[in-house]
Amino acid sequence: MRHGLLGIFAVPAILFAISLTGLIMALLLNSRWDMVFAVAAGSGILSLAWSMCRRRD
Amino acid sequence: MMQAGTIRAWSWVHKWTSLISTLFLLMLCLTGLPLIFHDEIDSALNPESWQPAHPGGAPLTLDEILDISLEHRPGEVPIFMSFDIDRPVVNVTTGPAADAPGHDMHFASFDLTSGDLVPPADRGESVMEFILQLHTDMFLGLPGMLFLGAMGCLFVAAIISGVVLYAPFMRKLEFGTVRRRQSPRLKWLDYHNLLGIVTLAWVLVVGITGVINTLETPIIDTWRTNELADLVAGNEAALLAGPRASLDDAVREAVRLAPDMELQFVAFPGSGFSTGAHYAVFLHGDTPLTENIITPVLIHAGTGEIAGLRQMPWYTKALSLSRPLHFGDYGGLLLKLVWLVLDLVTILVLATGLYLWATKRESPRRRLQPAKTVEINSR
Repeated sequence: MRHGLLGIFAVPAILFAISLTGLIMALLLNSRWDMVFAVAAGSGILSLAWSMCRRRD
Repeated sequence: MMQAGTIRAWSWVHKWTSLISTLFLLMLCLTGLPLIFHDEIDSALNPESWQPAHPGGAPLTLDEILDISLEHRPGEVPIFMSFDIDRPVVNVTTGPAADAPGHDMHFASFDLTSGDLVPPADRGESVMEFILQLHTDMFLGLPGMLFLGAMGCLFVAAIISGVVLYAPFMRKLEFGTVRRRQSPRLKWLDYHNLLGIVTLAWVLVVGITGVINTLETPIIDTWRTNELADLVAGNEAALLAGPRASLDDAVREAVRLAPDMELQFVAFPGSGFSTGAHYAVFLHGDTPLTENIITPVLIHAGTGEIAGLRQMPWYTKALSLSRPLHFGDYGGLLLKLVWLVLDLVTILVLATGLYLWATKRESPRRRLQPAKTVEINSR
């Protein structure tokens, strides 16, 4: 099955947006939200862990 | 649909920008790992035991502290003065000249309640300083910084070309696919693509802010030349003619001019952050964003005349914001741990990239096609 550009980049684009938001917002807002934004910034790591668990071969 | 020629062109860009920059980026990633936790390492190696001589007592004036610091370093001149946030301590940097290079500067801390020297908390500092110097300029000063900035630019180009190449290689694959059961090279190619794409935002932010940080010296020089030109002209001689104006009065006046800001540091005349005739009292804002943006109030060091608050231009603000975004020291311990993991993943991306290049060279006839997903125009 072939994917178009949207299919190829949908998940990476979402991860990019979430991660970038986390990085920037942790700088803009106070410490109460630090953990939330740190998790957002590390969303790529979470997706990596999810991919490893699913073990698509 | 990408044509084969386009893929080859982007592959060429990706290969050469990566190859040239990879070793330096590996060095930066490896030295960056302990620097993420610089503060924690310092605190662990130097547990706080110092107490002020007169807790709750009346503090000395900044002029008195300055005079005491210069008595300890005869023949030297003041360059910077900064203020501890958590303790009644003033830090004074002196040197043989106001524009002395970093390695000629001397840093000392003084008890604000007594003027006594505060013992330096420098256990492990030599190791961390070595790592920081290697990371910043490879011990080569400005040329080293600019060279690393160039490597950073190549790294950003490698990232962008890598994103472009992600498309043809993933046309027939679901996100997260790693073909472990086929050749080792295919497996590591899939890991390289996956690790690279999921860390894209962080690696772009850290890469671009790293490049901006390497431009600190030209940025500050440009600021002084362009924004402080009116203060430089005709003011140098006035300083030499008379005694130094009160530093305490200068700082007090600066704080009064900017009531919503907090004192950060003072740059003395002739230092890199001021003119030859002014105290530059730097303040920062009190919001999470503006606390990273510094603004100077310039006061003539001879006459005490206030030149006013000078807003920093956009390029110095970009430099101010690049520091926290590069170091990751603004969002608590969890963000630092995220920084650590992403740094390690980036090392893996670089290492797998080297592996892919090396194994491709070993077997040139087995060129890896992007999973037969590219429509190749007739040649």
